[in-house]
Parts: sequence; C-alpha cells; structure tokens
Amino acid sequence: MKRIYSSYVPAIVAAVLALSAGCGTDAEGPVTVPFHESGWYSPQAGDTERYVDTLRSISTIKIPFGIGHSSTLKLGEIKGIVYTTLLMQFSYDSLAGFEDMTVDSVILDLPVITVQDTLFHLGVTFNELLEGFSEDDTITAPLAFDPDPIPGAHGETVRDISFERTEFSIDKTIVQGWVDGTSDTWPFGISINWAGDPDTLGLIEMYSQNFGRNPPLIRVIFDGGAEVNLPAIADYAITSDQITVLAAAGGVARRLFFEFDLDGVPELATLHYSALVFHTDGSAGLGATYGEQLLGLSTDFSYYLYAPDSSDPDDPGILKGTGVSANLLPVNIDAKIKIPLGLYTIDVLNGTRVNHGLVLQSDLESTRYQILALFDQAAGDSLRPYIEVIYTMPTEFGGK
Amino acid sequence: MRALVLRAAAILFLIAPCGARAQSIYGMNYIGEAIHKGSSRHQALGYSAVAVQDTSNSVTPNPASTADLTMVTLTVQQVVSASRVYYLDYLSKQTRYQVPAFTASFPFREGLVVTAGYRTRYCGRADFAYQLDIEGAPTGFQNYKLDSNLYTIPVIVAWRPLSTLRIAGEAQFNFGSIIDRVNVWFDDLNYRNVDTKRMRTYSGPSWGAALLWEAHPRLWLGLNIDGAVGYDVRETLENTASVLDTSFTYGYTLPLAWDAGLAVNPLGRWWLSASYSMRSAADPVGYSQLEGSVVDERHIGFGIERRAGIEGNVLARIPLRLGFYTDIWNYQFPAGHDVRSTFLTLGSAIPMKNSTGAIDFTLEFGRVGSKTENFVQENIFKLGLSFSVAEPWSRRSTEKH
Repeated sequence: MKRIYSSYVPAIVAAVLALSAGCGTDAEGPVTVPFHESGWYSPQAGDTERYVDTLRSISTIKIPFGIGHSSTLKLGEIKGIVYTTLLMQFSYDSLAGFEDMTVDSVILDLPVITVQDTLFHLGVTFNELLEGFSEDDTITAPLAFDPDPIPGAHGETVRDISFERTEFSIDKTIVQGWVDGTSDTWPFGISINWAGDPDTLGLIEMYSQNFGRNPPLIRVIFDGGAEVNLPAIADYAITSDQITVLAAAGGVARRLFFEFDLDGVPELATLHYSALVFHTDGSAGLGATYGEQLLGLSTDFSYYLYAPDSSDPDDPGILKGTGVSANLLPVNIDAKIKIPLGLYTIDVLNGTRVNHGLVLQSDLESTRYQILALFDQAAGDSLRPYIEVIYTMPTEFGGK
Repeated sequence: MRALVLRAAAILFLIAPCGARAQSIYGMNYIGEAIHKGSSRHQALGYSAVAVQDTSNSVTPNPASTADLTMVTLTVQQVVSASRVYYLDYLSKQTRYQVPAFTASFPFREGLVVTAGYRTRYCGRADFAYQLDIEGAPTGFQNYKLDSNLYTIPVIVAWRPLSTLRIAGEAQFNFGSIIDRVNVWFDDLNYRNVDTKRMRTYSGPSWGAALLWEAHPRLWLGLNIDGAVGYDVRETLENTASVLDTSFTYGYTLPLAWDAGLAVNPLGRWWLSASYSMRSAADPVGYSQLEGSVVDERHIGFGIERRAGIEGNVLARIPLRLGFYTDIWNYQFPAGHDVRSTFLTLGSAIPMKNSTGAIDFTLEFGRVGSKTENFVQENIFKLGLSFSVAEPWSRRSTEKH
C-alpha cells in the first residue's frame, strides 16, 4: 500500500501542475503581429469587403385585389388607399309575419367605429345594386347599380356621413311595398357611393358583418313600436390604389420588384452576409388604421420576400417563386431596414439559382390593407435602396 | 508489473487531456524541431547528456544507454513552461505543456534491451485575432489558430556487446498533423462565418543509431544519430465554400541530426558533461516564405552533476545538477537574424521507495529570441518532471503464487 501511495503522488502532482498551467494563457494577438505581418507565419486571411449594388431598377407590380372578408368597412382615403364604394346585402327573413303591419320608419344603421378626423364628413348616395357579389370575389370596380339613389324619409338622396351621423332614413314606402308584397326587396343589396370628392380626405371605419356582432343593418319600425332588423349578410369595401410613393401594399395590392447585379462580387468570394437594404418612409406607411388598432390588430407590416420564377413583368412567374425571407417590419417610423438574403445570394453567385431579382410583398396581402413605403432610387445615397454583400476572399496559405 | 501499468495509465489519463502547447512562440513553422530529447535528468544537465550513462531512465538522449537497464522500466516525462512574450510595449503571458514523452524498456537479457514509446517531435500552437472594421457591418474578427503535433513511435534495440560499449539501433515511425485554421466572423448571428482549414498530415519512417562508449572509467563518449525523416505530406484545404477545397501530396525531408558529447568524472561523485548537436538546414518545402532564412539547427549544452550517494543525510543522498545550453533555431527571424535560445538549468531527483526508479525534476530559466535581434523575446521558466519506475521481469510470476 505504501508503495502504491508513493507512486501515485507524483502522478497527481504532475497532472495538477499541467492542468493549472493551462489556465493562465493570454491572447497571443499583439505579440504575434511581426510573425504574421511579415508573412513568416504564412496563413493570411483574404480581404473582407463590402459590395453595394444600388439596384438596376425597382418597379411596382400592381395586382387587382380586394378584401371581402375584412372585419371592418371603410369609406374615404388613407395614405393613398381610397375606399370608394361599400356593398351590402341584407337578410329579409325577419320580415315574415309582419305582412299586415304599417311601416312607421326605416333606418339604415351603419355601425361606425371611428372617423379619422372628427371634422371629416363624406357625402354619399345609397343605390340599389343591379348585380350580385360575393365576399369571395375580387372586386376592384363598382358594380352596376341603379343610378337613382335610394331616397330618405324626406326625399333626400345625398347623405352626409360623419362622426356624429351614422343612421340614415330610408323612404318607408319602399319597405312598406316589401311588407305588402307589392314590390321586391333589394335582392343584390345596395352600394354606398361617394356623392362627390370631399374638400379634405379622411376615413370612416365601421364594423363589417364579418366582425361577428353589430353588423350594418336596416331597421324597420312599425306603427305601435315593433322593430325588425334586417342585418347585412355580406359586405365589401371596394378600393382604389392611389398610392404615390414607392411601396408594397396589402389589400389593394402592390408588390415591389427589385432588379440588381452581383457582377461586382468576385468569383472566389465567400459570403458572410447579404441583404436588401432600404429606408422606410414612416409618413407614407400604414400598419393599421385607428379603427383596426381599436380592434387589436397589429401595426407591424408582415412582409414576404421571394425570388420570382421569372423577371418578365408579363409572365405569371413573377408573382410566385422561392421564399427568401418573411418577418415583421415597423412601417410608421423612418428606419433603415436590412432584410437578410440568407442562401439566396450564395446560390445566385455559385450558379445554382438564376438571378431574377427579388419581389417584396405584404404577407397579409389578402387580409390586411397595409403599406410599406420606402425611399426610392432618387433619394440620396443615405436613403436609397441597395443590395449589400459582405464577403471574404480565399485565405492565402503560402505553402509548397 | 500490473502496478507499473496502472501507474502509467493513471499518468497518461490525467495528463493527456491537457493537450499540447508549443515549445515557444517561435515554434509556429515546422521546418526543424527545436525540441530536446531526454528525461528531466538530462534536462537538468542542459541537454548535454548524450554521453551520460543512465541506469534508471527509459527516456534518454542516447538510446544506447538503455542497454544498462536491468529491469522493466517505464519513464514518463512532462515539461510545463510559463513565459512572458515581449514585442514593443506588448506583453503576453503564456503557459505551455506538451503531451508527455514516455517509453517502456524491456531487458530480454542482460545488455539487450528493447524500448518503445512516444516522443513529441514538434508541437506548434498559435491563437490570435485581428479586429475588422467594415463600413456598414458589425465588428468582425480574423481568427488564426495553429494546432500541430508531430510525434514519433520509436522502437529501439540497445545492446552492450562489450562491458565498455553500448550501441543501439532505432526504427522510428513518425506521424502527426499541422492544422492552420483561419476564421473570419462577425459579431452578428445573421453573418455566416467563413472558415478555412489547412491540414497537413505527415507520415514517414526514419532510423537512428547511437553509441555510448566508456573510454575510461572517468571518461564516456556518446554519439546519437537521428536519421533523416522522409515525410509523405498530404495537404488538404477545406473551405466554407467547398468549391475552393483542394488536396494534394508532396514530400518533405527532415534532415539528419547528430548529437555528440562527452562525460568526465574529475572527482568523486562529480561529473561534467558537454554535447554539441546539429541538424542541417532543411529545404523549406511547405514553407516557401522561409526560403533564404533556414539555417542549421545547433545546440551546445554543458552540465555538472553530483550524483546521488548511498550514505549520509538527505542532501547527500540526492543528486544535484546544473546546466546551461544555447540553441540556434532552424530558421531566422527576420531573415539574416538567428533566433537563439539560452537557458540555465538546475535539478535533482527523489528516489522511489521500494523501487529503482526516481522522480527527476528540473527548473529552467532562459529566453528565446531577443527584442533587439528578432523584435520578439520570450522569457521562459520551465518545469520538467520525469517519473521512472522499474520492476524485474520475475516479479509478476512471484506475485501470482
């Protein structure tokens, strides 16, 4: 036992010494400089460079689009999205059983959530639709309607919607005819159209029947006080894209097509990073309207960047492709945005993918009206979009 | 015998995970070895002990001396160094250690001993970085790492044909790799690292021969020849972009080295030793940047030893050793300026109880390079520790019954 003890002590001592000695080594950086800079120690990392391509072109791809299943209906304009027309279809089932009664009054109740500016008001007319619609349709232009507006209780045809006025009378003889069976209901519904251009633009937001409660409705009040509500069973806001800035937008919709060259990246470069870089114009961006914010919808712009299958604007392939990046962006502030391109640029440079450019779109194109506005190529160097590539050239080892 | 193996296993298990550090900051290129052979006893004598008889160590600077081992002997040697490296106003503190050398000797009959083991030929390490400032990018870094270890598996046959002459032949199986890594990275997870790794694997046999001659009871002469190593080198380059990968082979010859010396006993237990060794300048294959700055590798060592006595107090019964050596490295830095090492050594030994083995220990103080000649100077303190145990062949069978 004593012999074994005497043999193991030095082993342990040696181990402890070796281990403890290894714990206190400084970085060798500064003291190796002369060896390395002189080439005496020969590995030499290649130059690391930043390549910038200010883009060959940026074009807008406009896509006829409409959102039928929105939870809000809007009239007016915000950031270049013009809500020109509302379409509504109603359910008349509730009128059954009231055939012998006399209509006292009729009201079209539009459940306004908010008006962008409390002073904003908009003259509109109510017109009977002459053709039907579905919320599943893409509707980008007003449908055919009876040019004679639906009159109010006093024969008025132009109504003024404002923050304070959201109920409008309907000539009760129209509904009395429905009750008596002497005239047809509005089988295709009505459209609410601008009566003219207002002095100042603004936005009126109201609940859609898709919200699930408090829908637009026609309220029929009979003599004696009985009331019947004829709720909207389908509604639709038709929009017009009058955005004047460089933007990707959902709902209307428009995408941005970036074309660029990577010829300036050396053939042997190995990429660290590449990105589409742009500056957002917060004043022209739209994340969510005030009414949408009241409903709890996010103000972030959900983007989707893809490499299209074609660079030809007339080829449907430009509307689809391989995803490159998707994320959320703030749109209401001026900010420098870098969207990393991941393997896309690497694939293009090594020839496994054709450079058809990149397309930026809203990832909620079919459900949200949103605008991501950015400064265009005419902006100064510090604001215009570009493709950025950071790469390193091959290491030189010297050697044999 | 079982205890011997257990001890060896314990030591290797504890030490091997430490890895190996370069012997000096100047050891960043493999074109020679600049590494010394021998146990801590020989280290304490300034590595001048090629003519010193050794009856207890299996790791020796002269394989012929193993012919005097009469028992199965295992020796493990470890050197740990701590240094301060100076360049301009910069200072870097370094600690280094290398995979320990170990050999086991087996005497088949008196005067005929076979030895095998492991010995590091070269270990170079480096790890440093530069900061990159790229417009519009986060802070980046270039990292350089050198990680190398070339080693030998020696098989030695030592023979004592005459009572005054020991000779040895050695077959060496040489292996190892030298890996240079360059890594460019940014302090941002969105940025991909760009890595490059050059790996050179070396393999090749070589031979050695040694002689230890007792010319007179007070005068011993020694000679050791470490034959040239004809390495086959396979170089592979691996990159983040695999299209840049390459692989090829070439040959590299490490020239022959020789070490000659004498040991003199002028008085009682006092012995003086001296040796001179050199290796011719290598053709810098694989290191073209060293063209024109490769020189002969030379070593001069002196030692004085008062050997252990068998009587008296503790101090009288342990050896005392003092040495000095100077090396000229195998390459210059910068070109035209030799790199010199100068060291003072001192050491002693503690005999193992119930064994003929010993624990030899050595302290070295010295420097490599100089700020005036080479810009970079490394002041080094080394601790060497050897551990030898020995048992007769017969012990195992005795214990069984």
